[in-house]
Amino acid sequence: MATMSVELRDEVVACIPSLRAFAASLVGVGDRADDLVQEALVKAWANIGSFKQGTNMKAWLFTILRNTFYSAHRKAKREVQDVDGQYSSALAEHPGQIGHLDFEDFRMALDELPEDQREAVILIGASGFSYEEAAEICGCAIGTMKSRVNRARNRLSEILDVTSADEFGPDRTAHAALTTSSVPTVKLSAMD
Amino acid sequence: MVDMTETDVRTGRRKSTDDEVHSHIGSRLKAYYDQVLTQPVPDRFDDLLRQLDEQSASRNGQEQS
Repeated sequence: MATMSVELRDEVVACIPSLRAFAASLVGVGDRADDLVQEALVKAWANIGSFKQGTNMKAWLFTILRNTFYSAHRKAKREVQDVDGQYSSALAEHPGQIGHLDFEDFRMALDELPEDQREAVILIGASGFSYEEAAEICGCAIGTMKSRVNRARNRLSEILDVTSADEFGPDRTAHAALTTSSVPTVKLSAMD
Repeated sequence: MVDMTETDVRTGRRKSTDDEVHSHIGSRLKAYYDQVLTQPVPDRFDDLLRQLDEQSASRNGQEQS
């Protein structure tokens, strides 16, 4: 029976924040996400013998967590509500990060994505995996992973309505001025 | 010379390119994810790791005896 060496243990522990973030993207922020991480860690300890030395520990752990989620948690509904406001207050303790409204908007947009697209865009766009690693974690072809990520990005931009350049970008002020000055003209023509 | 920049007919604003939209979505996604990533790890994980270490230690002890 292989045991958890100090080096491997350190690697696993270093991955806990990433595992929590990935779990939160699967089941929503809260205790259920941490339950999922806990289950994955117990399995990792029990199966450390099947980890191939020198391969990507984070990818191995993400695969375990994802399998745990799909075997046990799939039927349970995603925890979409911040029931007792604990997460809102947790966010308030971290000033300088994105505002609560931005966070909520984005979470709701993510919730609208099909599960496979959501996990694809999280793995590639946030967790920092390559397409190859993400495809391996999800047990799909690299091409499938690429198309899921593309569809997810397009859908997110539709939902969040970032279709015009003045939503962001360097010439935001110029566009704002243009928009303001055009308002009276519209009103006049409407009265004709 | 044709202006290749697509313009929204209704508003006169320049439409953003796919790359711009994707990088905007990408930075919001990262900000969203980092909210959880940068949180301190809850105490329950310290307890869990201690339990797991104790289990491994006692299992090793059994194997050696």
